[in-house]
Amino acid sequence: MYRVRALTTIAYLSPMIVGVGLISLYPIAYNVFISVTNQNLFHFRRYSFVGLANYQSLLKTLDADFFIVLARTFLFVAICIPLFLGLGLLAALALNHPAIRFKAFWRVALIVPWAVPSYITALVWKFFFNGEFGTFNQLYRLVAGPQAGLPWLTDPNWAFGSIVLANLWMSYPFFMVVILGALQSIPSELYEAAAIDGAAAWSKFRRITVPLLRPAILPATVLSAILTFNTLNTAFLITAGGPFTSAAKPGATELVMVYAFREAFQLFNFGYIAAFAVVIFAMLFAVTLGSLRFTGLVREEAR
Amino acid sequence: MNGWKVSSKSVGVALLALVAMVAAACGGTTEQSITLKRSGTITIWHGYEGTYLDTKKAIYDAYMKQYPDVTINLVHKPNLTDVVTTAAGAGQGPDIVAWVDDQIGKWQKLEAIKPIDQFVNKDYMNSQFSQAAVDAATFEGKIYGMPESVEAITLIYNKKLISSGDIPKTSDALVSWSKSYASSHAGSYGVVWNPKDAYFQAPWIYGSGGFYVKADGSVGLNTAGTKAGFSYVASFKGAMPNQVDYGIADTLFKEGKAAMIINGPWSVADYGKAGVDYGFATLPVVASSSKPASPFVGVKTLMLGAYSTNAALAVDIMKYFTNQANQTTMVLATREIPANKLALADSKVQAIPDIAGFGAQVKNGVPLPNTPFMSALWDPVAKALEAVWTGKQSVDAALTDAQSAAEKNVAQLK
Repeated sequence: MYRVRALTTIAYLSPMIVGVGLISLYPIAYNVFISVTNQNLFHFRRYSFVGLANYQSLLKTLDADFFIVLARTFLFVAICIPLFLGLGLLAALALNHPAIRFKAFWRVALIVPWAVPSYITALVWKFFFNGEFGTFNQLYRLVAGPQAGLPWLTDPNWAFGSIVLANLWMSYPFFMVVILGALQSIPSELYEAAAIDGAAAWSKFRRITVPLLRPAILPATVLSAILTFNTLNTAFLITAGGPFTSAAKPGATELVMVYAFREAFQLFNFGYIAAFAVVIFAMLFAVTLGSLRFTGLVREEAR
Repeated sequence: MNGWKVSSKSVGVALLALVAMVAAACGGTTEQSITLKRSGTITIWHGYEGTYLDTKKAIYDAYMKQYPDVTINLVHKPNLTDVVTTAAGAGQGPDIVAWVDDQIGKWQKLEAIKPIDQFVNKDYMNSQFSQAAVDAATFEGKIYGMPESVEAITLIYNKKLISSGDIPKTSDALVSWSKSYASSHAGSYGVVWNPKDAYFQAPWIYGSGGFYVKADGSVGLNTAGTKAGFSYVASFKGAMPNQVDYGIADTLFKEGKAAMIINGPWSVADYGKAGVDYGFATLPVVASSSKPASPFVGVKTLMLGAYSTNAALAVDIMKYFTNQANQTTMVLATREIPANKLALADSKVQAIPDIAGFGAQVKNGVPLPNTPFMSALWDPVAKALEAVWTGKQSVDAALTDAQSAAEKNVAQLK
């Protein structure tokens, strides 16, 4: 009896198992395999096993490209996520506020940056940032004189900020939509009861809104942090990883994915970059597990 | 009578066997070389668009009309170089790839293309094509395809803004003229191009006696010639917009805000459409070396795909496409410089100003390196150019870093 049920279970699960295996597990396993070979341009189909040599060259010194790129990407995530969350929360609260009129229009207008393909948005921002002909510097010249100009993409720190700005524009609608949905599901009786008890707006926000938004915001934050960590489009299309201050160092906006793309598809270092991907994957996996446990999400769902 | 018949048959069989043996001996290892059957489907991956595509398609259509059993599929591939690389990884690919010869070394290493030596000999190649074009299609002693057209960048000028007699003849004169033009015409520039790309700086670097990389993988970024070329490019700071790139240079020239541009044959059709009355001039002589500036000469080539199952037919189509008559007709419409030297000698072809203009520049050029090591150089050179152009590094420091980065990349490839 039990055996039959187990077989039936497996039969029903098999389409999903095959799907996940082909789409998700096989590429990961293949990537791990390539990471212990010397596959590159000169050894493309006839590569050989090199053990952990790729990992060694990846991690051998503290000033290796790997650590520079990694630290920069963590900084990028650490700056981006609070901004996304803050702006998304503000926009959602505004949209949910009874005093706002033409809500349908604002809702569409604020979601537009999310709906436009990021490829197009990135190229538009690239133009905005252009030093001589870009919109921002043209506006700046109106106040600061005809010779003035801000180094949006030419100074390493400015370029990093510019990428954050463009990424903020493209990503805050995600938080706005998630938070707006959660806000609308909070029963209005809670606020009415609080009002009767004499609660002020701030304490209503802190005691009712924030706790009830938490289950929606936490998974969105984890998801968005991982997506932001894996940013390729924005950085690659606007700066291509630059500005570069030397050929021997990664560029100022060379995030992990930009670095991986350059190494894999411009230099054809497949083995090396597969090792890079394995290390990044392990780290993201650990961070995700840790944050799920830390925020109590797993427990809440298991309950 | 009967006896004669029998002996005739046996003689015939013997002769046939002999022919087959000779053919097999000549043909080398595969049996494909003996039999050319003009039937089957040939797929060609290409990047042609507009007039280029229409004109080239007409030649393939004529072939299919002549041999109705043959079907030629022209497939336009955006990002063709990436697609070929990816397909090779999966053990797939077309019969013919139409692309610039600089990929030959890389694709040979990736096993995306295979040699055509068993179908054509060097004598045929030399009788049809210019020496530079034959060299471009050759890698490590083997021929990988048939050259179609030749391209190089040259000086293109706006006849309304500068007369041909005023075009500077030396590199030093070009800088000083550009600076004075920019200061006397606010918002306009004398000459523009993309100063942050390795391909576009080749005229100055190779003209100064420098080089990027040799076939054996030796890197030449810290040589005196390369440094001189870099310094020359950097001397245009202030004479070009600070954030100039290919698109900005192109737009400035189209809008009449730049008197001259350094660009290639692919660009001129758009300049005509934008209403620019343009002419061609040869890039100036490099003052420090007294040698003419030497742009990279790229050769568009029909390469034989490694996974072609009908290679004999594919090569026959290449031969047909690149013959004198078809190339003459083609370039009269597309204004490309034919790699077929017989077509280039045609008086009607010589009368086209674009072909004469770019043709003169090609004579001063150096072959676009087709060594796979070049893929290790594009990135460090571009980064070094950027660091110098933006003033983040001196020429010496930038090239020292670029040399070590390029050597590291080359070592990883080996």
